[in-house]
Amino acid sequence: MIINKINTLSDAIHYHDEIINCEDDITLDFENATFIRNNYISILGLALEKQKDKKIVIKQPKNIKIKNALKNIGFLSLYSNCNSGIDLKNTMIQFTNITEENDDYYRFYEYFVNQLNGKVNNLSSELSNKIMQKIYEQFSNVFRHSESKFGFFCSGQFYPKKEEFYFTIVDGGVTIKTNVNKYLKKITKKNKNFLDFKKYKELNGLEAIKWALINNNSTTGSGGFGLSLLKELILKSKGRLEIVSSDGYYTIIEGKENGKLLNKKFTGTIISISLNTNNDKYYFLKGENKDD
Amino acid sequence: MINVKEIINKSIAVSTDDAKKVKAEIIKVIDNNSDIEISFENINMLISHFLNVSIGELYTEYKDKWDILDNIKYIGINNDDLELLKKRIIPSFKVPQTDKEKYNSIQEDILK
Repeated sequence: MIINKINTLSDAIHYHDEIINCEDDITLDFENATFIRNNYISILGLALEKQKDKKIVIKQPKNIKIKNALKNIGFLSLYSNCNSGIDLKNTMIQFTNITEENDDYYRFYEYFVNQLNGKVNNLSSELSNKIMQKIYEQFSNVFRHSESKFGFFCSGQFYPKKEEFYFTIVDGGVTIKTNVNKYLKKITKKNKNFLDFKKYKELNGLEAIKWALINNNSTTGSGGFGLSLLKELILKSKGRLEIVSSDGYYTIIEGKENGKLLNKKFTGTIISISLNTNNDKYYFLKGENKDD
Repeated sequence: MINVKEIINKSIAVSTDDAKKVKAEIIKVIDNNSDIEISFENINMLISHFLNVSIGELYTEYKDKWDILDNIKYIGINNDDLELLKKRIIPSFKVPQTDKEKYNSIQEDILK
């Protein structure tokens, strides 16, 4: 499989699908790669984990910059005889497979928070911590024994000159579409009466993601905000958000929400975030004292 | 006092194993009928799964001790998490459902 460019989430999903559909040994040929967006490496990592029983060979990029980036993010050394690089500029979020085993979820949390706090200075630590909490909650099937075979994967990169911080988290577990429909179906059933009985109509993947992004405090009070907090931050800070789950593809790019239905379902959930690290504005939680 | 940070030796409370350790400590004192205090001081992050296993499950397993469990004093937990525990998790474990149904319903709610 020749991989010359991974610039968009669609590129990464395309290669993910190609990898998981491989029936023989897998060769990822990066030799002539011209651009790889390193935060999407996590998506390839999930696919390779699904195929870990097969022989996996990686042909290294000739382009030294791309090769070093893939070394420094900790990807090349896992699948080739290449040594892992040293991220001297400290701009990478290391490619990491997070499972419940060996407390690696904890080490990753400490590492990620350190990376985030060291590079993104326009978020309060309470806000970044709350966002991490919601992300861990989203992927928390990993923390329930035997509910997630592969764990979740993360990788990212900080671009100091562009003042952008990209990271992408992916798992191959239960999708937002499944979760939301199960919940709504149950609520519909609970509230049905003889006069107003309608059969529950399943939401598609995009509708389910949008539903999950609406702030609804009715059942949990102020503790109810989940992914809506992330959405609000992205909209206010002019960041970028991409969510793929099942057949849903949702984006916020340049302050505008968009979405579409994918022809091919993704068996899991991807949350890809770009934070604007420009220090002109500072973001913190409502009720938080920003001077603390 | 049951100090979560000291029991799990981490600043985040997310995993099943850690939740079981806290649950075991609560079980040790529940029979004494004493006033129980649980401190979440220095826990930077916790998720619903941790609260389900460490505290919620006790409501299923110790139905005759609900008065003691309801009386637990929680310290050092932020308002959102305390509200999640008291308004969502504990009530869900007080009604007959399978654990899986409870966990799913709680998680789905808070992801809204």
